[in-house]
Amino acid sequence: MLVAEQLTKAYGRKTALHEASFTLSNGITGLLGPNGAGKTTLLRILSTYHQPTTGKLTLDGVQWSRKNMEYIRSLIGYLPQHVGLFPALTVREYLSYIGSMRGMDSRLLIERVEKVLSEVNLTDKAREKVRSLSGGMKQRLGIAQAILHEPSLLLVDEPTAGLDPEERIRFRNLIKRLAFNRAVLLSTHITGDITMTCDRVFLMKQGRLEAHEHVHSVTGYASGKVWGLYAGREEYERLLGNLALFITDAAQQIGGGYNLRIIAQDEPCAGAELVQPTLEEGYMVWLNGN
Amino acid sequence: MVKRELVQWRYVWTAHKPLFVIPLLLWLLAVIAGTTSQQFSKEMTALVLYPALAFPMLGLMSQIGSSEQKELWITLPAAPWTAGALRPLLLSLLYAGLYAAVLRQYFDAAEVWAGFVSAVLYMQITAVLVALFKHNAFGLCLALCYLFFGMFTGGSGQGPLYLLQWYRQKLGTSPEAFVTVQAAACAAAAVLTAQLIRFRERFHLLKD
Repeated sequence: MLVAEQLTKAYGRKTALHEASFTLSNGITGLLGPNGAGKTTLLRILSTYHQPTTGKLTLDGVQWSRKNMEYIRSLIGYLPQHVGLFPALTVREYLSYIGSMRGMDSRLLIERVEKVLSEVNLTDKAREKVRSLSGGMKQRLGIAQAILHEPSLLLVDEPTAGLDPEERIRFRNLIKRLAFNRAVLLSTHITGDITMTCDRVFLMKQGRLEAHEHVHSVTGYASGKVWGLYAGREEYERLLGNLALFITDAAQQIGGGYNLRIIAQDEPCAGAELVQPTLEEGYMVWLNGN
Repeated sequence: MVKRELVQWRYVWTAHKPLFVIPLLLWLLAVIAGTTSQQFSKEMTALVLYPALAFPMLGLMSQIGSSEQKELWITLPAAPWTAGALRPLLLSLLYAGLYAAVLRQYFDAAEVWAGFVSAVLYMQITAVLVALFKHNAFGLCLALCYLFFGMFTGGSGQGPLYLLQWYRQKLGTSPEAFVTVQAAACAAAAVLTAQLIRFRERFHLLKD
């Protein structure tokens, strides 16, 4: 379990993270926020890439300090946004290389490499060069290096960006499996990733973190503000021009009309009905200050 | 421990083979050229092979200096003295030894000894710069600039850390005049690199 207290990170005069306090226990916690919100800064602090300006961190009861930093690093698995695999190595060589850098015992390493290759479904690619892998396979290899040493904390930074739908679903299922016995922090700006995988959500905006124990509490922000309606083409264009409304979905129907979902304080037009909000809509309302 | 080190070296070699091989090819070229033109081979050894000695160090330090790989590498547990001092020193000694072997054909013993120490120092400077700036290209350029500045100015402003004393001596000094200081600088550079590895989560001097 990770406990963060009053974490702050400042770069010169700019504060990228403001006094973030939270607890990460087993299961997946989503970290959701727009670009520049401070998600990567937070992940970089938790992965020990950056030092926080102020604040206190405790992982599995051990408080982070300069003296035990290498030990703390041995408890963490990290998949950065740009993992930088070695194209000239084979998949198995890459994992062995990372394992040896981590100082793992060679016999244990051989066993673990085979196990994680099977976990991430890359056993049949073990002898192939990293350069020959698809984007999704590279991400799975990235996860494999992060869980090789069985960390108690797994940090994953925007893992599904750029993946095709099949790989995205495969990746979500993988992350879910990995969270059974460890704390996982999944940073993303894709709300679908959060809905499908996360137990808890941290929302971030302008360096400030807001912890939510359930995904539903985020959807709750849009409760009573999301309207569904069927509109013809002219009506749709009229609604598009209304800047007070926020259209979150416009599915074109066979007849030429549209099934719309609209965020609005009041009924946007006659015939609109309140509908159950999604996480994306809750997030949009939160992002725009309710 | 030894086995783990050997595994590390094997993978470092495989992952960055061209950086380790380029100086070896140039070394071979210098040796072959020596059979036809001694003057050409001598100049090639000093002006081409010598600067290229930075490449293997770049290969060894590339994980902390690569914009793609450093984010992961910095977060991996590491033994600072092994990664920052021992490995760079071993690599420097190996390549400087090879370099000295080719120098022996054209220079006297004092010059060869001074050239060997200067080559080690040059590689150590490269390691320090890459570890400090966490950027391969930046580290390499600064190391090359330092070397070429000395080359074109006769070591102006570089004092005893002039890296071509063995090839083009400062007026009134012997080739081995700075050997002791440079050997001490090598040790200091190794300690500094180890400390930069130890505190690698700090000093992000260039923007990520």
